[in-house]
Amino acid sequence: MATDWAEVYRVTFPDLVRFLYRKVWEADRAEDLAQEAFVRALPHDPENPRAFVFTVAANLARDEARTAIRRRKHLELVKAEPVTQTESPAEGLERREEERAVQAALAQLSERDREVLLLWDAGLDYDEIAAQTGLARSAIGTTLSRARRRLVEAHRELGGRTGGRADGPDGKDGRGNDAALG
Amino acid sequence: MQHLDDALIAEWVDGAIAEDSPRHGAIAAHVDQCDECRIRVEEERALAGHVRQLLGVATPPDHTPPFEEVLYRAGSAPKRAPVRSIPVGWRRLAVAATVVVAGGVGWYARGLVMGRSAVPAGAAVTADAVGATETTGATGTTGAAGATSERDVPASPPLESTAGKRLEVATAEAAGRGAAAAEEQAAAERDDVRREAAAERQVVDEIVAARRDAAPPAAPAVAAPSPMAQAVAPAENELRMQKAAAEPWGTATRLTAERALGRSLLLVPDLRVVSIEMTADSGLVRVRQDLGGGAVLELVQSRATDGAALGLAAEVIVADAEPRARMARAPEAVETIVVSGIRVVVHAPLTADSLRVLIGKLGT
Repeated sequence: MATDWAEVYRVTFPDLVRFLYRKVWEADRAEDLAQEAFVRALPHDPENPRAFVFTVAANLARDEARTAIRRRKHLELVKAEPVTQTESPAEGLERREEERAVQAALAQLSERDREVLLLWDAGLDYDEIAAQTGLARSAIGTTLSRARRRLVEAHRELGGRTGGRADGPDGKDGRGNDAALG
Repeated sequence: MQHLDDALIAEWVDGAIAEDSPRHGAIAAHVDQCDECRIRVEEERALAGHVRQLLGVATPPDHTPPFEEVLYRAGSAPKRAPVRSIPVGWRRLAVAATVVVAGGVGWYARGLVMGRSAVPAGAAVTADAVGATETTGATGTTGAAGATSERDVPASPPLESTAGKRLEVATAEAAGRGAAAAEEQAAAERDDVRREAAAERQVVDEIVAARRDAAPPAAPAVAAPSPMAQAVAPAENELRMQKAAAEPWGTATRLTAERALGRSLLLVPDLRVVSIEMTADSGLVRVRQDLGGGAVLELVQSRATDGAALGLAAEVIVADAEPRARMARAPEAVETIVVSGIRVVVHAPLTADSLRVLIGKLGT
């Protein structure tokens, strides 16, 4: 049965954009890459369309990184106001600062840990993450656990404030603070 | 059962262990009985929640364009015209674009640039009229020609002068090369320039003719493209614009639009971008920018083709919010700028000074 790409697009696009955004850190570019990933996926009929399109997108993002410097210069030229503005300047500033802290914390992770973490947050399951990254399925849990811990530690060291409870009672990390979430 | 290791705890927390598997039952029973493992599970769950919260900060706006955009992109990858052996610098210059600023620019220049004294009275813009503009044809024009039907619109000497400058450029480049082939090249370029100049003159002549012939406006909202829109769209561009008039506009990202255009968007950096839209078939891009006071600047742009004799690549239409009878009767002026290698000819019912200030704000 041929892949219903319209349906895959509908349910996957937001996750894909989120995944890509944390790689390129430009909303328009992330959206553009996500669409491009679907354009390239359209002719295919993969067994797991969602995982397939993430693979394509990850490759595109890698290529994107190679030309990022050149494009950054271009974007400075075309920079304009966002299409919509729903937050106050103060809110916008705070949000951008928080985002920069998260971006910096993510940059502290190894490429593999970061990739696994972002795929996990994008909603891929362990099998899909393993297929995407080439890691053994049994290694995903360990990698994810380590990546999560390192991200929180790095964010705390960088002075990030999101969550407000990055320092646990033991002063090491935020684990245990949000036990109520469980 | 031994204590759970980190991998198993992560799998458990992430729901990666199938509920119908024997492992699931065994782990559930162990976590119930083992305080140490239960605490670690809770810690891992809290950690996962915290990470979700952190990453949630770095999340782009939730926006899913219609799937048709993907289909459009899949079926219409930008095609480049055969590139002739013209020096790159000159080729960029030869990618010409004509920008027509229709109506209301006097208001714009007054509000943003020149101050009230520079603009005739009665040029205020109303939100209602802008709304009418929003409902007009694909080009968004509102028939500025009506307001100018009584104007004493001059011919197009500025275009002739700019063409002359371009001839000089072409000649200078040819002289630098010296070789016969280069001379031949320069001759071809001069022909191109002449053709471009003729085409530009035709554009302006048609605009002038349309304005002179246009009847006084009966209503501010016009369903069909205005005489102005038709006049500024000669030859292939006219066909494209007419076709676009019947097509729906769909929201597009800036990068999608730029990819379709093959270049950066032409816009006024100082103005907030209200929307970016594209037609599916014609590949036109429409950018709307907020001029303030309820007015919207529309820039309808098409792909400029390398080596084209005249790429009518951009049309700028100021939302014509003013009843015709109250439009400022400024003389026509034409100015030329080069934006990212695209020569943009701006034609507007403005004084030359006002127009210069306006085009000084155009950029990519």
